[in-house]
Amino acid sequence: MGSDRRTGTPHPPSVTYRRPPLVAAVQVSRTFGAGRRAVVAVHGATCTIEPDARIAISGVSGSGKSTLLHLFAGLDQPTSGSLEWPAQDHGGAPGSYDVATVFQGASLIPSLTARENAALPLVLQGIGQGIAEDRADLALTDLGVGGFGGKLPEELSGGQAQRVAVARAVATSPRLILADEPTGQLDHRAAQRVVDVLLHTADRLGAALVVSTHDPQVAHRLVTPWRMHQGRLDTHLDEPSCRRS
Amino acid sequence: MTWIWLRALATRRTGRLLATAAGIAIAVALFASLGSFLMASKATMTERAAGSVAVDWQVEVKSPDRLAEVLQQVSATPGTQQALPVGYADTSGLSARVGGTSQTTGPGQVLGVPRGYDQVFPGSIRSLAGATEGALVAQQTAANLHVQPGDVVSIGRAGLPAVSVTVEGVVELPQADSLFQDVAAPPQSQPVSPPDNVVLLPRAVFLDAFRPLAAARPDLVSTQIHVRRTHALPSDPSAAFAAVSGSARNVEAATSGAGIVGDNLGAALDAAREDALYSQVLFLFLGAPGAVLAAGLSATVSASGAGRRRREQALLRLRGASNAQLRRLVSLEAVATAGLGGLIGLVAAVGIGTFGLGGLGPLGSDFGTTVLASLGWAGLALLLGLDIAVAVIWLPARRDLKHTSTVGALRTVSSGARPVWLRYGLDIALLVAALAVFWVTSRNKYALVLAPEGVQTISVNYWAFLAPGLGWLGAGLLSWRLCDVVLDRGRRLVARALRPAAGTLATTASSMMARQRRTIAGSAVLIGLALAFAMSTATFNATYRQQAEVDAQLTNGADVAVTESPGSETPPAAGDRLRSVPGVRAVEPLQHRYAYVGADLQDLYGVDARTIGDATSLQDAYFQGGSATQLLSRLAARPDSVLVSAETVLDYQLKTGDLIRLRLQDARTTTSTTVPFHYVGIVNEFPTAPKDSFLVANASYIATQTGSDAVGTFLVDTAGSNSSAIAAKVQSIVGTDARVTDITQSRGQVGSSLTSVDLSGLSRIELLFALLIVTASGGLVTGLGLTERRRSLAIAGALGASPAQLRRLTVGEPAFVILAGLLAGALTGWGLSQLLVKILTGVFDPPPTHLSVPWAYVGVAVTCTVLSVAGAAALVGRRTRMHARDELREL
Ligand SMILES: Nc1ncnc2c1ncn2[C@@H]1O[C@H](COP(=O)(O)OP(=O)(O)O)[C@@H](O)[C@H]1O
Ligand SMILES: [Mg+2]
Repeated sequence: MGSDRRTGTPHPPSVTYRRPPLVAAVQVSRTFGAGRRAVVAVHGATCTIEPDARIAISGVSGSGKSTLLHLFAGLDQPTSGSLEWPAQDHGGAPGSYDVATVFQGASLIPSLTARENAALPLVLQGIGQGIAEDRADLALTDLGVGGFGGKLPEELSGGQAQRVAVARAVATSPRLILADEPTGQLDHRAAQRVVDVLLHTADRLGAALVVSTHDPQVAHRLVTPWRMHQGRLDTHLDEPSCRRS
Repeated sequence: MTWIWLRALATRRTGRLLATAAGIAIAVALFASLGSFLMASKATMTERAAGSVAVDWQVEVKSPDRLAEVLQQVSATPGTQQALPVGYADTSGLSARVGGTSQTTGPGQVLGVPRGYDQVFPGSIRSLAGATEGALVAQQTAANLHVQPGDVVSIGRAGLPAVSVTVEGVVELPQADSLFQDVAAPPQSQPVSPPDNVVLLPRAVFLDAFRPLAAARPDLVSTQIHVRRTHALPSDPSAAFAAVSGSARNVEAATSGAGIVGDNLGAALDAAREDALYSQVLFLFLGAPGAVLAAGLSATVSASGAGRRRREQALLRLRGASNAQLRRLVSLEAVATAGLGGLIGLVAAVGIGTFGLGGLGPLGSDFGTTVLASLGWAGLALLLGLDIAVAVIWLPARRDLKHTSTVGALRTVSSGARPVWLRYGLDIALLVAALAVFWVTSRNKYALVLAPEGVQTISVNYWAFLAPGLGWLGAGLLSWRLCDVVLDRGRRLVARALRPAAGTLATTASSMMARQRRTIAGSAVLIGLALAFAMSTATFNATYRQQAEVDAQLTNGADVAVTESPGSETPPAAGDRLRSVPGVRAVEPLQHRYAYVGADLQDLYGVDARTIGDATSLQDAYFQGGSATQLLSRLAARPDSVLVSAETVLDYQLKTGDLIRLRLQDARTTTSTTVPFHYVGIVNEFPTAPKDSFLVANASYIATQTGSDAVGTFLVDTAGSNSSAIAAKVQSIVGTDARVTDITQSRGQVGSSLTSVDLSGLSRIELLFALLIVTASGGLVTGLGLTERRRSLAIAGALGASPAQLRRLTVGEPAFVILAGLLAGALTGWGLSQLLVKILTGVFDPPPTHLSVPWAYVGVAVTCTVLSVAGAAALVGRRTRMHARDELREL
């Protein structure tokens, strides 16, 4: 992957078998508020996410990881710069077919059971309730919470709820999985298990995977390390020059 | 910390704080405006009662030689403005020779009236012809003797030669009943009717004429002191009655029995205080549910924020706040909300008072007691507001503080345990109890207000409140149960019903609704009860107005009535000139005669049974043993049929078809003749007829039997509109031969029932508040409920739901709330209307045969509900979509 980046030369037009990147960001910024109270959450990020990417974004709390992932998911718009999804038909924002997000906080709908929560994105895609719930059950079982399908979110522990959220993301068979600190609430073993499932699912679906985390053990499991620091994205950590400096 | 927290409350929970305060404001405003209305209408009742009396007291002097003493005592009694002695004497008969024929009458009464009497007691004597001073004869007497001013009448004195006087005027005595009352006798043994033959003499002439008789027969001559009292009375009829009758008893005590007070003013106030109590009961019946609903609204609003408040409390606790501190904060919140709501409510009440009722607000222009009482009402209203705040904010918060751990409080959805009352069927029990209580209270001879005549204490049968109260509660809980069952067990059904609107999201939407069913059911019940309140109040008011109209028609006879003077021989054909007046729809001649039933003189009305209904409304309640149509057709079936009063049937043990002989005056021979009739049915009320016994027969039969078809009254139907203008035109046609009255006059007359009190102010307040509560419940409850679910919608949006899909997910809740609310409201409203009209039946005179449902108002109320719920849902939906991005941050 990324041979163009290493050589610095553009693609020859004849190489058409390569799939286009899922996300292409050039100098993307996101500023909240205006004037003296403005907060620049993401500052001039330039990067691409290839269809087979395995990226870990690390950074301290408040460094802009969540904001960046929301931008990738198309849930938020940049205040400047260009953000494209070249793999989409018109390069526009992706639908839930293509990108699934695991949110950082408790993002389950309190009035739906774990199964119904996991099935919701599928139902929103127009898949019948029965089939959607079957697929949701499979995903829940994959994540080790198969027995909790009928429980309401308030009856789940934080870790179980997080795994339901992951199941909800992977159940839709997306081309890009964005997971925002999916292991934040989990102990070491459970965290590894979630990462296993994410990696396994990404492999099985042939999807790209981007995980934000502040846990180095989690970050190590992914091939490409990126770092966020005060809104600035550094994608060159794996290059010898960067490592030296 | 207190300050910071209060600021946070004002900025972060502005909406909920304001909404809770709004509920309290509605309750306070309702209470205060109803209170001030009640006060104002009581004052009007006192004023009207006092104004209806011409001679306030008639003090009978027991022995002639103590007259001066009693007069002095009465004059010295505080509140007495004028006291004049009036002589009463029995005459053995009157006679006159006019134009060669001589007429004589039976026994009668002679009054000795001091100079200036009619100025001191305006309304006591009405001049019809000639002078207003000197020897005056009553109109009936003048007719009997065929005399007019200038003629000579001789007055018989038992055992003494008659005295002759020259008639100087003919007068009417409008208050003859009280004028000739037997002061010393109890109400039940008063003369049935005032004397037919009355002569009024100047006091000096009277004394000259009757001093000899007094010496010979002291039992035939007596003296009364007629008293004008101050009408500056306490504004409450009960208090005014107590004051007046207290002074009356003082006079009796001070004269040690030499003077006995006939307290006409007290009697009028006595009747008014019953009306006042009725209006107070109405106030409670119609106002209490409104206040309860407003409180319920506050409670629901406050409860919808309970989760948030619990979480805030838990966070404050985590930061080290003690329980005592938290309790203080909650108390502060309750007091602040109550203060805000109370202030808004009172301002609104003053606004309603000045703009809606023409200056009868709590701070009306009448100073003194009114202001004090107004402040009292305002204080009570504020107290009510505080009570509500304590009940809906303080109590639940305290319970939370006691029973929930910090961790538990951070949960958002309550556990699924069913409320205890639901399991034990409290709702059904309440409804059954309501019906039982209603049955028991209405089965026995039931009177809502007990006001024994002349007795100081007056009481309300408060048991009557129990049935509607229990019914309300029961209906509310039952609706809740049904909503709960439908949303939970009937999830499939709900999903299927939602499919057209929600499409593939129907199942998810119905699941979400099932888990939120407590809140949704609460909203639906509140809206249902608010609608029921609006409906039952409006129906009651409309029925009340309908009956007031019926009563007015009954009193006046028709929209316009043309009453011929006694003795005139107007033929039915005279009605033709009236038919040509534009706006007149029908004219019916009504004969009015007198007939002896045994020894009893009764009014007899001759009608054309086939057409009488064209000109006046005949209610089924006027008759007994069948509908109006049935009894009239029975009357028409035989020429000699007669309808008699229930009392007469009882007195003479009549059975249908029985022969009754009535003695009527024959116009040809001017002597009485006996006419056979057949009894065919019972009549209780009839247009223009008196309250006591009377007869209704066929006009054509009476005409042939008595040789006269003279009409007593022409009943004119104007289709209910323009009555006054048409009456004026009719008057210009008939001239001074006949008296023309229209229904607008009798509408304002004081009767013995509350129908005389103009309830329009009360109904305006009621209906306004009912709409307000309906709208507020719909809007606030739905809006806040959906706001609580904003997070869920934001999540769905982040998962890829389009705006259209979000709408489909949320359409079910407002739809269900509207549907269930309307259904519950319609059923409960119908039941309550029935119950209210039955229980308050004493208010109606005559009792209604059917309820009058004001469909226009009900339509407005339903529209308000639908618009407020749908509007709130749409607004919240828009805001949710607009702020979805902010919610993302918290995901
Ligand atoms: N909706 C928002 N409004 C204002 N500021 C925001 C918003 N979302 C994020 N921020 C700010 O942007 C910065 C980055 O936040 P975030 O992306 O959540 O960081 P991380 O996920 O790395 O903890 C923080 O300073 C945060 O306060
Ligand atoms: Mg974050």
